[in-house]
Amino acid sequence: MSSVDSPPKRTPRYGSTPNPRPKKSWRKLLWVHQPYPDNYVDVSFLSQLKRNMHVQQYSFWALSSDSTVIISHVSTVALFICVFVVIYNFDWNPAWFAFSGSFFTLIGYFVWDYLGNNTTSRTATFKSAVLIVSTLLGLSPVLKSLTQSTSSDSIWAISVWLFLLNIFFHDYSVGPKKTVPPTLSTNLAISAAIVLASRLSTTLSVFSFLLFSIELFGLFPIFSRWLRSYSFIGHLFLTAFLIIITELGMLRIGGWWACGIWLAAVLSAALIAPGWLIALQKYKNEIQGPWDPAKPVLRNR
Amino acid sequence: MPYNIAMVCDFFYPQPGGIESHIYQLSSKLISLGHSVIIITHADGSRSGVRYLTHGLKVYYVPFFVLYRESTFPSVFSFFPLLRNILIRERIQIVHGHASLSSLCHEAILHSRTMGLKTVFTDHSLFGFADPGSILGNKLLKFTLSDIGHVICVSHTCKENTVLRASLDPNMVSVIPNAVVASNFLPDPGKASSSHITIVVISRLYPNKGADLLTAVIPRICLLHPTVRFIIAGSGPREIDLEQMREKYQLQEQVELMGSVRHEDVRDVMVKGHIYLHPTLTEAFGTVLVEAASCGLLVVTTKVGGIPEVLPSHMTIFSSPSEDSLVTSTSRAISLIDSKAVDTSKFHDQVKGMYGWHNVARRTERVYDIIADRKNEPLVDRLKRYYGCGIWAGKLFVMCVVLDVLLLRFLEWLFPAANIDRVRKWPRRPTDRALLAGENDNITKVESEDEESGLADS
Repeated sequence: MSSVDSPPKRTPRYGSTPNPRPKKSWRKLLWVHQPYPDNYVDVSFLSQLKRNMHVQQYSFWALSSDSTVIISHVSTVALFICVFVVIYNFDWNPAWFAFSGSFFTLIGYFVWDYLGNNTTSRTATFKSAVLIVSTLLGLSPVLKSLTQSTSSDSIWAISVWLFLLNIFFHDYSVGPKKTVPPTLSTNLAISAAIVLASRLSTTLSVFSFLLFSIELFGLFPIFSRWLRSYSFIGHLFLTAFLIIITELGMLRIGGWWACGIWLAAVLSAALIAPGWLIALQKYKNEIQGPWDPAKPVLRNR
Repeated sequence: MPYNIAMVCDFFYPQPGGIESHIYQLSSKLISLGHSVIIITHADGSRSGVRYLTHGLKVYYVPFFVLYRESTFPSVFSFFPLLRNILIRERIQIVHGHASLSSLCHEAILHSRTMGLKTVFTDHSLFGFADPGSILGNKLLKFTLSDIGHVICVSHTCKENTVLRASLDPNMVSVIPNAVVASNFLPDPGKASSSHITIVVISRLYPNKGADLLTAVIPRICLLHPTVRFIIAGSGPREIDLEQMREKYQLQEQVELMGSVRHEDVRDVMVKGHIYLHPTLTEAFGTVLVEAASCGLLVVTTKVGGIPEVLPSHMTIFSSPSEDSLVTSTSRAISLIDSKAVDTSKFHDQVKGMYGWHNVARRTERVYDIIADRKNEPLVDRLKRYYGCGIWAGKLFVMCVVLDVLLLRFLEWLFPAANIDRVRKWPRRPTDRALLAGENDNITKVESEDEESGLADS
């Protein structure tokens, strides 16, 4: 070690390495005392680091078709608001909506019943329908006066919040698994309807309006959820139908401007937002490594 | 050159735990090496003020509000006046913080840097990157470690984790493992039953410690090996699941649930067994594995975190964190013990050579040597480091540091350092270091090789 021979003078001895004390290669172990400093950084440092293991690759059309589920529900809410505005501002008869709503509900029920998804008997369904309708009829005077003393400005604000929460908590899942309790979003929407109903003039219009709201927010989501698991094409047709109806409603209450803005919103939700999400995927940076808590694999019993 | 060192951590005796005993053992070994060490922690009930432990290890129990699981309320600045007083009084040169969940430690590191002292941080645990709690914790870790002198991690996996979490230069992170007091974990082959094989589990019964795996595995192993006994020590939220499992499969004969045991009784439980089963899902080091091997038990463990680094392959049987794999590995361990194919009697002496607190203290001392001579950089350079922590966080951190500097100026005016009493040092036998060096010569040869390799300055 002490001799400072220059390399050309040194004669190789039986293939020994020029290094006087050959170092063993570093191992990632704690129980051996290795001839390396404690802060040594090996080339294998972070070699077990994995990036973006669980990142899903989205396809544009899959995302776009999934967005129709959201569009369909948001259209329902928009349609309901249009209905309220034409009743409140343009003096349309609410009974008309109750009749058409009940008509579509019956069609929906028979389609659902015909395709064999019915577990309860028709008489039981009929009985509960009669019960709900008569209860609603009896309660209408009470519901009408419930928030009558509240000023209109507060009513608009409350109903906007309730509808926003309804859109947020709605169950958009496609499969049979339910993640959010569906009653929460239904309750929020019905409360919004009750709050708005206090602005109407007669008890009969309150009854008709609430009946329509129950059909739209209580029964229609069940049908729509079933339809999208039964036939996605059917769901697309239903969504297109809803968009057209909502567009007509927008045209009636706000003219071409409202119609155009709503169309732009629907198109951006269906086409621009999925593209944006895919474009943002390149910023995804998930880190996985041996330090992550392991996922235990248990046998199902 | 002896240093005056302050260990700061929320976790210290009288609460039991791994970090607590780590700080105590390291401090007492550093004292043996001739340094002066104090420990700063929060008050525990009525235990408030200054206490002395063996060898003049002084503990400051600072009165602070305990927020959650023995962590103090993170108030950023309120600790500064008291900390400054203690640090000046004790003439501290190096502040050594422990555990990333201890807010006291983070505050102390920040204020010590403002006062121009040298800082070291030891990380004892692993954290993920995905959940909101970890994201926030990692940001705070980045804040305090932006201007740290050196970082110590307990395993190589822990080092990788910390380097990523706090965006550190890997050269300023040293790996110094935990150790065990081997004499407290002596094997006693007479205590274990000779008629049947006993499997010991000592673990807090939490989901992240693999309690669910344990519950699933026990009935299957008992079915495969009807003579095997289990001793399970520890408590936690999953204890009830274990009890239900024992009822359901009628295993009262085979499975003994002890509840939690104190650390000093762990050895007495361990020596009753032949195999130690460790089904954890995350672990930075796994001191309990070393303790079990020291007691002469064959270790069956899941291969997660830093565990693969801890023990040589002839002492351990690794398994993946799945029910089937754990059953297979345990069965293999049982047949190895049954056929006496593995000699566990030598484990104790081997472990004694691998892990010792004296070795840990000497390696820690080397870390102190690196940072002790380093010049403090000007405030602007410090601020630049904090500024780089993030778009919003960087600005917030810079504001905190500037406020800290102003607070220090104010404290210097209000309580001038000249008015603070300096303590007298604890009287010390001059031969301590020489004695220990002599004692240590006969431990292992590998350690002497270790001595030669100095820590490369980063």
